[in-house]
Amino acid sequence: MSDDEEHYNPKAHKKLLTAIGSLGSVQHIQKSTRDERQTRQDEFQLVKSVRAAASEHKPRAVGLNDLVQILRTSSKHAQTGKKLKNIQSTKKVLEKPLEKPAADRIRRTIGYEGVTKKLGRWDAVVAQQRSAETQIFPIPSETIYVNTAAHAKPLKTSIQSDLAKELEASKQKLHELRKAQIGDTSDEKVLAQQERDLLQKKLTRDELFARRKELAYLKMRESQKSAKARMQNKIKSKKFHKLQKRQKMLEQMKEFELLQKTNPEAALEKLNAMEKIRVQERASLRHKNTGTWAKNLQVRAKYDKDVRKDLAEQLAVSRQLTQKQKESDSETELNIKPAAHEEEEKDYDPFNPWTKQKTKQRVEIDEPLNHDDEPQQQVDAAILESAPEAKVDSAVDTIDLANVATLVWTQKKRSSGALNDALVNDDEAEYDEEDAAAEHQLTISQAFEDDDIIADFNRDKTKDSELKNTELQLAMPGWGSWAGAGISHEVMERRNKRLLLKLAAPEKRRDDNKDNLFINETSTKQARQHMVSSVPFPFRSLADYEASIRAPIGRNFVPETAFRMLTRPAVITRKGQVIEPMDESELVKPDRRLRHIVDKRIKRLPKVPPKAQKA
Amino acid sequence: MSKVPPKGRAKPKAPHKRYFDTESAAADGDTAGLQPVKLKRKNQQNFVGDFIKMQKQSKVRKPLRPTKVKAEASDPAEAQKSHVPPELLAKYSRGEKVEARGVKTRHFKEQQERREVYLDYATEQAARTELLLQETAGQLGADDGEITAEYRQEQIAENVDLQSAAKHFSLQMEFGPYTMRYSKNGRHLLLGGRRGHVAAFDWVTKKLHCEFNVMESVADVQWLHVPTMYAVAQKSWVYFYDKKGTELHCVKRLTNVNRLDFLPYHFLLAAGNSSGYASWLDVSIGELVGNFNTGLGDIRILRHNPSNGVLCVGGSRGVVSMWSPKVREPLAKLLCHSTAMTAMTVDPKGQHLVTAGLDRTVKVWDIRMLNDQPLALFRLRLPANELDVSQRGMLALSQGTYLETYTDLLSGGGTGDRSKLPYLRQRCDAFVHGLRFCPYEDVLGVSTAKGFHSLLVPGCGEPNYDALEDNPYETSKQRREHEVHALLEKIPPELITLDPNEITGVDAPTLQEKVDAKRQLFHLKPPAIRMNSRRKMKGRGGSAKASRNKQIVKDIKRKEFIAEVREAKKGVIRQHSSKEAGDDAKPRPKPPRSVLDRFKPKPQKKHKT
Repeated sequence: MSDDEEHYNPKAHKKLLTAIGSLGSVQHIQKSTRDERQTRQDEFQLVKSVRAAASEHKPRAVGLNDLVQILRTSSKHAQTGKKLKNIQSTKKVLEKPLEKPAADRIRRTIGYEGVTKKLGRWDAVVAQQRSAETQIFPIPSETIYVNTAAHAKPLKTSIQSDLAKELEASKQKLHELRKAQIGDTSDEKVLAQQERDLLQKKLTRDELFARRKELAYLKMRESQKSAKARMQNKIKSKKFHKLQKRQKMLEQMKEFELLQKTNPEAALEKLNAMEKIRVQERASLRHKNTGTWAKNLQVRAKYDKDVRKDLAEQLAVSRQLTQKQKESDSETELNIKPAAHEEEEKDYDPFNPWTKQKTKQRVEIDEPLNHDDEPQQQVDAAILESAPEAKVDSAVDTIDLANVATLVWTQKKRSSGALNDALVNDDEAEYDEEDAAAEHQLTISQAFEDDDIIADFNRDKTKDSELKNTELQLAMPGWGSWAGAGISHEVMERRNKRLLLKLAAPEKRRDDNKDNLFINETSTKQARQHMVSSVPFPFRSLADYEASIRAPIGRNFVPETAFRMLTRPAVITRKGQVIEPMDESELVKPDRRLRHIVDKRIKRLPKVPPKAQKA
Repeated sequence: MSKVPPKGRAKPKAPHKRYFDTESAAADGDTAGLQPVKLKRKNQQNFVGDFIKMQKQSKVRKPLRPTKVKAEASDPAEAQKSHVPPELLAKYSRGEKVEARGVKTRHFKEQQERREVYLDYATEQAARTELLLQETAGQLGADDGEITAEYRQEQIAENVDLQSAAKHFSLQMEFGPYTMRYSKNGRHLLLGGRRGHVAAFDWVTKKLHCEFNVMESVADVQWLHVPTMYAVAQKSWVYFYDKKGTELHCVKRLTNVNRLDFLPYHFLLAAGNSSGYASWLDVSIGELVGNFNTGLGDIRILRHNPSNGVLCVGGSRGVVSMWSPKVREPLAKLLCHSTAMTAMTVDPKGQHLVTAGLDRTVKVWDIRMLNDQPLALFRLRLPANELDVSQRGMLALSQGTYLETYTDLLSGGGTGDRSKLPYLRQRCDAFVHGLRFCPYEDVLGVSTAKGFHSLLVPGCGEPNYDALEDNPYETSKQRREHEVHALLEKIPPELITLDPNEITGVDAPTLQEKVDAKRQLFHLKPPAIRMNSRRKMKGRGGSAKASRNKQIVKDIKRKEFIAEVREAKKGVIRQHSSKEAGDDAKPRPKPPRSVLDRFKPKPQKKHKT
């Protein structure tokens, strides 16, 4: 065998090995299927099954490199290949698309952020609306401010300057002159004028509004005035109209005087007009006593004072009107004065009981009381007159218990003349303690003095005011006395005292140290039902709670303006108007101008800082 | 000299034309000549209206938050515009603000601050209305060497205007001593004669509403909430009549009534009768809300305190006791005189109580503070038998037929000098039985045994009236409206307490209640426990077992309860047993330790026994 070993043929050996290795495997030849790429096509479609060793040499997938290699072969496509190579080296590969839920989550997050940003723009508006004291819906779009200040400048409606106006007027004049002279009707100019007019009519919107407002205002004023005039016309009081007429005349006179100084021509015209009225009056019989009314009155004049007065006044008017005017001022004054005097006089009416009272002095009053030099008998008499009556009435009506005391008093009053004296000259004697009269006074008051009253009051007070059942005895009967009878009383006492519980110290009362006063401190149970049992929520102390309800808001307690503000609704809506939802334009609108001072002040209030975060 | 204004400057505002202006103008007419008057355009001459300014939406976007600078700029102008003197503001102020510290959350803090702005505004507006109070209360002023006390009514009537002079009148009537009342607005007068005569009239126009004789004795009369109805206390019962004299009601539960009074805000007719009963009749529902014996005997003196509605009853023992319809004992008692009382009144603002006694003094008390010393004391020659205080604080008192007024309740005296002399005095023809100042008029009504006098007392009435409260010139429509409002705002009778603001407080237990609660701890019994044991299936638990279980539960509960009570008792005993214990319960704050404390003697330790 050693020879064999020497005859080692590696080729044969290898062959042998492979043969051995392939002993177990059988060559299976199958009909190929077209399901995979094949490097070699066989006409019989017979393919050896891929062996394990062969699988390592398995043809790789066709890459771009292969393509490029192929393309490189032809010079025609070399450039394209290069390009492709470049592209492959620079381009990144797309990642795998995300799972759907994850993708959705991301999409949602992004969407949320977008919407937050979008809605965030509304934050300011919402905060403002929330913090607003009142909200008005529909939201007012335009504001109109009425300047009611007296010194406000009048609205300037024309744009033309004064000079321009004058120029235009002169031009117009010139034009008219020409027209008159040469009779040319320059149509073009008229047309131009018309056109300009038309243009001018096209006011801007604001001006239109302003104009309309002004007109409305004027109209309102006019209607107010006419309403007032109508009302005044309706007044049936003749006196009123008379007075009105007189006032008008006076006003005219004043105007005339003013005109006299400023504008003599106008004054002259006015004078003429007045003269004319006078002349007309003179010609007519209006204020004479020849009319039907006057005649009717004349019949009654004999009996009726008022009628007489009316007639006299009528005649006076005619006299005044028909007289030639000289010194108008003095005349009117003269006319007024007697009238006033007459009024005073006519107030007296013999049939009116009230005026009778005034004129006729009935009771002789305390004239002598103030004059010391008057004879005293008179006074005494007066007092004595009243005294019995006083006694009777006081005994019966006003004093109930102290009948005895009253009797004493009346007796004293009768017996002592000093009291009467005192009443007479009370100025000096009233507070003089050393006086004899004062002594009398003292004795009388002592006679009335009832010590029992004070003592009784104090007794009642202590009885009512003391706390009840404030002590509690903890000692039990029999406790500690097991030794039977005979234990010293003192020991028991001491023990009991030790075991006595005082539940309350003597109370501090409102009426402590006030002898003559008792206040019942147990208030009504019913009233307590109306009170709160503890300090309500947002308040920390009773003082704060009480301060929060200190001020009433009712109409009877605050002025109407304040009442309106205090009870202002949080939301005001206009009747019959559709409330549209807010749109984007709300974001760019400036703040609503606050008109009320309260709103302005509230806006100026410093914001309460949020509570500091606890670290 | 009229100055010509410099051309550059704006024309100064022309002062009102005075009577002397024309003369001066005429005087220097030679030199300066006539000033030309610039006439306005014709359409401008009569235009006195407002000028209207339109503001268009500005294109420039403003910052959403206004800058601070702007706010400050608008500040002074506004402040200037809303300038109200601070003393006026103080007058109308409702009290201290709520401090932000005292409010709990941020939201409520802000809310409260806003609220305060509103209240400030209300105060400001109220202070502004002072401008409308144009009327001033005058008084008689005496010339040198004269005193107001010597002026007679006739002299005063001669020197005042006709309208006021017409307010001085007297009526002679023969049906015995009269009582009288003015209505709350001072417009109507009600007279009741002891011998049955009742008359109601508008005393300003002297228009008689009704007059009749009830054919019974009349003790007192009283207007109700409107001047169309009144109550008359007759011999045995109280009757209600209307303006025309028609009998509306007869209240038989009010018997032998001596005095009547009416609380307008509570709608209560208060009555005091001859056997000492105080009664309150709610006239809006016709129910007696309070009726009990005061134990004071015959009630002859009775007035209500307008500020809190408490009824003051003057007793024969010199004690004024104050009563509320829902409390059967007096709220307060004040010993005013050591003798019997003769008259009493409370001033319309409810600040002072004025009493008069047989000891011939008139005392003024502070009825709000309730001090036991009078604020003022008047010593008189004779005891005052009638008293009244006017709205402006004038005091009127009568002594028999003689009556005096003082300008000030506290200092007395007349206007001329502040000495003790009375302001005005008057002797009537008969004994004075009733004395009332007329509200909102300078008039003192005096009803005597023989009739009625209306006296002029200048400066006694309130010159400015609040038409929403009392309107002397009210129409029937206004009266009706007022009645409805008053009914809606009726105050329930149980709120009549000494302190009208008590309702705003918190109901805290009184000391007596606390004591009672503690006492009760020592007498507590464990509560009965009702236990329904669960029904079990047959054989699972017999009745014996169930009852045993029940007993166990009961025992546990009782033991718990007893332990609790024992603890509570111990607490009470610890709190009250001794002074030391009391000290322990409430430890004193220790003084701060200092370095040198170590040298102090050490406290001895207690030995345990």
